Amino acid sequence: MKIQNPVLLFASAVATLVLVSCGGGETKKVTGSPDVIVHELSDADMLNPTNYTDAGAGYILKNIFQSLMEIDFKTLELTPLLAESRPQIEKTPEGGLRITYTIRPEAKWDNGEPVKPSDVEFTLKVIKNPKVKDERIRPYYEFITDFITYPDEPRKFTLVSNTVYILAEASSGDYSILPEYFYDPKGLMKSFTIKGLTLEQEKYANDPKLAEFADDFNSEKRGREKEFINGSGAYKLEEWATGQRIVLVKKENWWGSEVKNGSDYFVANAPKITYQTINDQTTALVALKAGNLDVMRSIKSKDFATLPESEKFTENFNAYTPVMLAYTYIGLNTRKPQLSDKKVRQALAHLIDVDKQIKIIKYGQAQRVVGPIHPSKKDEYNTDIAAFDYNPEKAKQMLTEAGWKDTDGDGVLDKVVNGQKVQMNLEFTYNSGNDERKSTALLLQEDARKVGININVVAQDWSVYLENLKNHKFDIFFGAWVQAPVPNDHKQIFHSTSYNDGSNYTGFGSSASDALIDSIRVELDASKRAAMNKRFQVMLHDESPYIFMYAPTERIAIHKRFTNAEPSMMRPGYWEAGFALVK
Amino acid sequence: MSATGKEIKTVSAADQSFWANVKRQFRKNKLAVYSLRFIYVLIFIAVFADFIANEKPIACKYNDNVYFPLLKSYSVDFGLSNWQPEFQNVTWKDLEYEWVVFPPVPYLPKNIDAYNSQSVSPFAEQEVKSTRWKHWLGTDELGHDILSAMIHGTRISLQVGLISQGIAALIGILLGAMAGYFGDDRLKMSRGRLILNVIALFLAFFYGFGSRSYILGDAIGISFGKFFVELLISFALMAVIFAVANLLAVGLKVIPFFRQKVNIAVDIIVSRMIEIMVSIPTLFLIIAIVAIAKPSIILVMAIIGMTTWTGIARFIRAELLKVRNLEFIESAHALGFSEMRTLFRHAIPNALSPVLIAIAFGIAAAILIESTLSFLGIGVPAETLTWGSVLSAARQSPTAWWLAIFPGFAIFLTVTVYNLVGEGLTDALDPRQKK
Amino acid sequence: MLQYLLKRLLIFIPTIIVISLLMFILSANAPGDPVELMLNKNSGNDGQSSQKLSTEKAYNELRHKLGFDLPLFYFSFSNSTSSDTLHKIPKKAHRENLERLASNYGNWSNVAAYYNTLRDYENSVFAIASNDSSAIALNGIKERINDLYKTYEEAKVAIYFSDIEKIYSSAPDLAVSAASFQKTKDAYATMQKNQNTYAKYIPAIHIYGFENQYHRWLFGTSPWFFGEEKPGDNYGFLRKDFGISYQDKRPVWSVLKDALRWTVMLSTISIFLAYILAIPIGVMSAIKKGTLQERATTTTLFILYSLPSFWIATILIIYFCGGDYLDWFPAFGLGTLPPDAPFTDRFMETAYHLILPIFCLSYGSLAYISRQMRGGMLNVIGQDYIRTARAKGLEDKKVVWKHAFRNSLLPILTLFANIFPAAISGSFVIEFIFSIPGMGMTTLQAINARNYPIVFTAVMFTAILTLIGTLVADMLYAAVDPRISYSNKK
Repeated sequence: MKIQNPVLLFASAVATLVLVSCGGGETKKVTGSPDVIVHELSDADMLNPTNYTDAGAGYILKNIFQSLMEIDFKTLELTPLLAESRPQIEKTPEGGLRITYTIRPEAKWDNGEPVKPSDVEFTLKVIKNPKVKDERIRPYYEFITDFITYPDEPRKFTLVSNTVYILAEASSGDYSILPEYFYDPKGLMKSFTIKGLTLEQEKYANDPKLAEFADDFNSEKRGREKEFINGSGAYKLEEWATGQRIVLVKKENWWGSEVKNGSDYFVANAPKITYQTINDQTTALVALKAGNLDVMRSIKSKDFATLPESEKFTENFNAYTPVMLAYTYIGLNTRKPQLSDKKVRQALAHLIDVDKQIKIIKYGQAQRVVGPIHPSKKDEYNTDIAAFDYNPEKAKQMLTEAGWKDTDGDGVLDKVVNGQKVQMNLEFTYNSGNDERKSTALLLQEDARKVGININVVAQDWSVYLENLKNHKFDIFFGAWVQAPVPNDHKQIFHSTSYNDGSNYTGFGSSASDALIDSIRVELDASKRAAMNKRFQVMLHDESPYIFMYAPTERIAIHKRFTNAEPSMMRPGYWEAGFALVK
Repeated sequence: MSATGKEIKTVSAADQSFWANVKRQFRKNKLAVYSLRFIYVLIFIAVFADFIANEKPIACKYNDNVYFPLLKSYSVDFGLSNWQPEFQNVTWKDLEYEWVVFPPVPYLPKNIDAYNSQSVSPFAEQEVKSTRWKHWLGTDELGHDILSAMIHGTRISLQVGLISQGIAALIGILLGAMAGYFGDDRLKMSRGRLILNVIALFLAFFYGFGSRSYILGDAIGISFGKFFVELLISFALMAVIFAVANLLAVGLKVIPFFRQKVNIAVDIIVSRMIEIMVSIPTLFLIIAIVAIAKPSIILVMAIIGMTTWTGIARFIRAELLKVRNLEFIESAHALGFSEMRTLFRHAIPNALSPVLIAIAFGIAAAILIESTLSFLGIGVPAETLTWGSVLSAARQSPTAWWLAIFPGFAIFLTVTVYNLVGEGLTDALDPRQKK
Repeated sequence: MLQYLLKRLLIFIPTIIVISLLMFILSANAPGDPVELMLNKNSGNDGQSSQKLSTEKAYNELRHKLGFDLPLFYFSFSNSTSSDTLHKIPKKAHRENLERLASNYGNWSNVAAYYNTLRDYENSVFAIASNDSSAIALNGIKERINDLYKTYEEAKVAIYFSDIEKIYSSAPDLAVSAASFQKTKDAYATMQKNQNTYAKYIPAIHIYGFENQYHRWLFGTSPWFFGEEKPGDNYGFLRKDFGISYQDKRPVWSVLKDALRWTVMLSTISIFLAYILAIPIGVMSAIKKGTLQERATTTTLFILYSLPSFWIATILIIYFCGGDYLDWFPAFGLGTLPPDAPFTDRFMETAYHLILPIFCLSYGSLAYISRQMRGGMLNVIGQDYIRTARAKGLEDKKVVWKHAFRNSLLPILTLFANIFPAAISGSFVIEFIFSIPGMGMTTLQAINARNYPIVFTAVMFTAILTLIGTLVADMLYAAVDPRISYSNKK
């Protein structure tokens, strides 16, 4: 699957979450293969754990590689994987953090050698190697500045950070650990240190050894050929037929089977997992009913609503609808003369009948939101905010209050801004092919026309759409953020410094909001943070750079012959390796 | 060859009566005649789509005044007048008139009927005020009226077919005929004229497009009309430059070196152009250009036209390659007709028959290309519904048969009708049919 | 004949060069900066301004490595305001803006001076360490500078300048950079004062020599005959080095080679089938013109032709591929047998999977070709010599197949050259619906992602294949019609 929404790695808070799942759950004894076939809308780009860019590749890689810690897909809490337990964290007197891990004694690579701290160090050095093509993730690990090992405790090590950050724990252990012997047989990276690669970047910019390593590591075979991809996970790559399917098979004698009381990620029942690419949704649905697929996610709301009518489907499949940790919104460019007044933005919010849209576009499969905090985070979600109601009359009145009148009688409102007459002509952009977004745009267009706002609906290719957002070349757009069950860091989206390089497309930000965002980032006390987050939601609601729409629910179908297939709020929404046949 | 004697006679005798004869022949083919009539109906629907399906009343009495909102909307669109305050941004069907005449279909394709969303079947119960407001062909996902979409879609598909093939035929017939007729040895030009024309080509491009690129670029951002005007200015500039060059060429003839005649290998040049055009996959080119520029149906038509002329050119070239060696053309030469006259009056009409089929099929193909582009979600603006876009919406809801049947049938009928007319013309144009 | 063939092959060379130039111009003018596309993917990066320097460095490095800092072509034909050093300016957006400024003011050196002062000013602003009180103000200035780089309208520039002045008056601790700001303003004013409106109407030619993007793309940087190879050298299109895909950073050839195989297979089979079926249908409907049988065939063909293939493909999948209805065919892909399975098994499985896609690809051209065949046949049958042959009492079948058929093949042979590229680019809809990883789909995805190396190479492949197709068609043409003379005899 292509990343439809820029994946927000760092957002959201750890909270107790209730899985809302309706439909299925019932299982059925069917004689069938224990192998699992998962549908993918498009081929993964590569199976290189640091260089991949597409979300689908990330889900597949989780079966081949392991990280120190992972967010458990059931409890949504951090759970140790290669690490023995969650790390010990202490603040240093210099205002930084020391994060100490111990690796599981059972953890082994395929050659029988134990996983050692040196492998972790190696992985971090790979990530920080300036020639490795992992620009996407490298910035997230800049905060790790040093690596300490302990000669008398061979499995223990400490990561040093020179700042305090709410996400330090989560991101200190979320990268896939690479076997040093396998990826660097020549020992090219041995002579470098994490400290050097982080703090003296200039010095290493043209180092030939780093370049030689990177050439091999970036090469096509490291991302596609089974002889050159290996990790500590339960599966290994068996076959990759480009554009068709990726097949993983379970390793014999995988070390994880010996782990007692491990998390769910240690359960690997499926002997073989196939990721089958079918580009067209309609075709994929037929293939599902025909029994060629076992798992399908992100089924279109409309199709999902009609699936129960199919006998073949209800006989063989369970439908699941876990709430997704994501929200959709309509972004408004606050730097445009037409939209710079918050009254106008609020008026637009009053023109959108979100509840009706949930009904007719999402077929009821969504939950309304009022801010960037997911409603499932009960402690932090501000329930005191009343969502904007659908009220064209009020919208009209607010526009008049803001000084927008139709003085020239052409049916479009206008106003004199900075000495120039500005017409209320706006452009609504969405990424082409996304019919749900198009429908929202057309509905808004129709309602806005009646109050004198002329909206032009424009579809743009994904890359152009993103480029225009980054360069703030838009008036209104439809967007979505996917979150992870970790504390929310609003800096990337709402801080004014993110206007030039980050994702603050709308140009929102004042000294007050910046200060609030900065203090949320470093507040380690959850209850204090919750209060701050509530204040932040009020601020956003008032300023309305976003019109917050809804948190969609995921739409998944899983074959009835599998147990242990409970869906999760975390993407992709299931742990396919854990599926087992009904006994 | 035995046929030639007869052909000489046809050509020399029947210059004036040629088209009259074609007309007579065409009338004999009943199917083609009915098809042509059907095309007239399509043209009527396309031209008067606004009066057949519209949200605005044709006439109404409101607050003791009689209004003609539909006509008025034209003058407002052209910037000639403004709406009365009471009609600004109203929902026309909710106003309380004393009396009112709505068009037969009281919806525009972009109107969203919130009460009949999620694809309502024509036979299902609809939430409408009265039968007057019924959606006779059902609605789509958002509640657009399909009948209205079909009527306004007629206009788009007709435009797409006619304009694109018009462009294609113009380029194709001209280049193909030149290539086939002149071949590599029949077109001669003085050396001075040739050199000056090559220089003029560069200069024309520079002044027409190079130095005006920003003006043109800004114009396309404002409106298509503005762009079109600027484009015409560019073409005019180019024409002037060529005219000047050719005038100069007359003067240059004084020098013997420039007077000398050179042979221009027209066939090689045109054949290379055809080869180049044909080798670039059209659909990719359209998608690439449409992906770069703003979606507009006119752009799509222009690109389809400028990329599909090769088929026509190839046909006419191949035919003329045959025709030019036939005796009747040579006798036209012998009779002292000029090259151009021979080419346009005698050679081309004799080669038109396969071209007309190609154009008829081309119109159909253009309509199909438009529907494929709609399937990909590019080409037309989001709020515009075309036959193709309704049909591709049907793909996602297989149970909503009305979204598939009506546009599918419309495309089928249109394509077929063009083909029948094309064949009727083929037969009528065939000189051997004249008895 | 052999001479003609050789001549045609020689003529291929300029044709291919012109096609490559066309594609080159198209991709050079496409919006979007390829270097940026390659650097930051869909991720949101953290947006710390401390990173600015390192990203800029990475940008310049990659740009240099890919050769985007070179001029486009051997020479350029433009107006006298443009500079022969413009291609050295890093960002595409900045480059475009400078070009426009130069065109407006007609004096490149003044424009360059303005750009340089703006850069100095930007550096001086980034050198200021931000503290809590000035962070917003500093950020405001950075935004305005960013905007200035992309603005040529005088009114807007004036607004940005006054915005910056306002910020300075409210945040005194930023004043260190004020001098540099003044210089920028002065440079802008100088540029405005010394306008030369006519300069853009004077044509100019710049010559760049062999160090240009097109040359590098065609011949590569590695030496052809002598000299030593440097690491990172590329070999150029002529030596089968088609570049690197922006998207997954794989070599283009490795992305396209499988796709090419599937597409060539799909399109040749479907064209072959279409011809095999269309010729007899066309002949029959010409002979039996006006009969009920002919009308029925014609109508069926029209119906087929006028139904968009995406719609037919969907219907077939829904009704025949094991959904809620019949389960006769597989709905997607090419089969799952491993490459080491016996050839016959794999062949059978692939064939089974290709039945529906090939049907969808060929029915449209089937109608088209058979109509043309019918037209050609009717044309010939009406001619005197056929009538004479019939009058002589020759057997009808013999007349049709021996005399008329050969001559009526002409128009449909010309079609071959048109159908082939259309089959390749038209196949993407079918490839998409049936999930066949062919060239059409690969190219479509590449167009959408602005992955130009792939688009470029795919188009070149199609072009070369088509040229070969055209040549074959022309040869056949000559073989069929003796009237066409290929030699230049008078």
